[in-house]
Amino acid sequence: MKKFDWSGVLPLGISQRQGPKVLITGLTAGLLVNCIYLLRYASAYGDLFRWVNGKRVYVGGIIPTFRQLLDRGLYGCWMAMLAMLPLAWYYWRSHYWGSKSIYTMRRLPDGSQLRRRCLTIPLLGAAVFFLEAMILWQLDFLLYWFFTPEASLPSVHWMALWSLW
Amino acid sequence: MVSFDDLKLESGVPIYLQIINHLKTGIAAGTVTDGEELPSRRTLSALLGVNPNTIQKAFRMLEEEGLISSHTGAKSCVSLSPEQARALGRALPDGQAEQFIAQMKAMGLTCDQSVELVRRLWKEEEG
Amino acid sequence: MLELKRVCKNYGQKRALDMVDLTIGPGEIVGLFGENGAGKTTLMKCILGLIPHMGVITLDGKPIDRKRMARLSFATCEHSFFPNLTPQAHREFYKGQFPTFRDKRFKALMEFFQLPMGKAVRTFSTGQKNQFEVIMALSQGADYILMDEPFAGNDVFNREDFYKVLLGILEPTETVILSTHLLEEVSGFISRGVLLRGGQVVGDVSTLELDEKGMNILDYVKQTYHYQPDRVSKALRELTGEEE
Repeated sequence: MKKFDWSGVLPLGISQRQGPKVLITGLTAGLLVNCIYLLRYASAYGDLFRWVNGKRVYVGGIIPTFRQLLDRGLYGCWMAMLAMLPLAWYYWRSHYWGSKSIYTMRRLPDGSQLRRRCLTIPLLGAAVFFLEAMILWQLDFLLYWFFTPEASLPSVHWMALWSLW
Repeated sequence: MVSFDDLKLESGVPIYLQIINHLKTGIAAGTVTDGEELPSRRTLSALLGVNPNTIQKAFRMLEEEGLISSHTGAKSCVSLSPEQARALGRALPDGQAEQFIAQMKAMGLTCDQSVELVRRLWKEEEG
Repeated sequence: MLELKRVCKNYGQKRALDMVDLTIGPGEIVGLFGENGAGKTTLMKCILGLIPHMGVITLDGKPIDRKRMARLSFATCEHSFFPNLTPQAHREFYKGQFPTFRDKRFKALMEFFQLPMGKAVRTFSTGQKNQFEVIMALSQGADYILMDEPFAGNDVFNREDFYKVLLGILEPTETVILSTHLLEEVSGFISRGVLLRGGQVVGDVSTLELDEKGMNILDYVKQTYHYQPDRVSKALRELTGEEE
């Protein structure tokens, strides 16, 4: 896979590696926070069973709604998205540190340079983290829907609210 | 090539005059000869740290006095007739002496005192 | 031809520039003088489109849009280079952005001032940073080179070298507008002096004119400012008089 040159979309002087770094950090944060949901689901799922004579036996009960279990599971993604705002600001301000390279950027015949270098990663990041949130949402729901014994699922209209199809 | 390396510019006297005087002094002293090339305006401008307009003015005035000749595309050259050289050889020291006399008078020295002063200091410098 | 017509700039209540009319032609080396706060930096920033202003600024009769902006370059004591980049990286970036970039001149100047091509500019001394800043402004390939106190922090030997190099490399079509406190030093170098005071142009004279009048630029500035030589002693007299 051809290595992408990030230096054209970052402020001059900021390391190329920041591009992938920002995205990976955000994605990881999203994933880690999503684990809260996995833990909560595992716990709620476990409540549907009891250990009898060394065997796991289904005892029934209604599992909490998907919404209840998901709770703040996607907050990692939302935080990552929000963090893109101060990031854009940081890229902008970097032109004022150590020198006023902002003067040079604003004099360039190519007016898109400054915009491109300050906004590409933040916008890309926001899009990627939003996509991650959507995907995790789907996956989390699929887990909930297919793993939970049908008898334990709460009434359908709750489903409709929180499903995505 | 006429050298301007040892020309130290002073404040108080217009620069173009200092350039003109430098050349004239060279002529009077015999170190500058007829036909000798002058450095280009740009070279001289960079050497002295002086705006090219000033150099241009000096050259133009020298040309008007008939001491140099310029042709577009080529460097300017000194163009001296022997009479001009001789005249300058006389005029320059005359001018300096007149200034000296005026200064001595302003300080209240007589002619004899001034001559004695010159003799003494000249010997000191040589010795 | 750079023309400024009725240029004004206010910062709140303060009038930083007041009806400035100025025309600067190709090949001029203009010294922009004035005390702190006179408006020199503001004027340059208006010309470069870095701050909004009232009035009209044109280049060859046309407003200065993004493209025409490439004909202007800027060297400032605040430094406008990229501190984390090496000079080599600057060269590559500038070449990509400015088709008129003067590569030969850039290399020659870097060599002359013995600046390292491969070290980040933030590692340079202040004097070297100033030199690099000016080198970039000169190498951009602009017709109008604006320099705002570019030599703050350079010793006198550096500065004299620089004026001489500048005179050697500048082409007749290149214009320099240089704002500086160092009046006497630049007096031989400039072809014209523009004096700002309180945001207004209070003096505008060519050095040839001054020569005719037998004045130097310092005399001219003093005369224009109505400088009173005994101002200081007068103040002192008043002070000591009161104390007695």
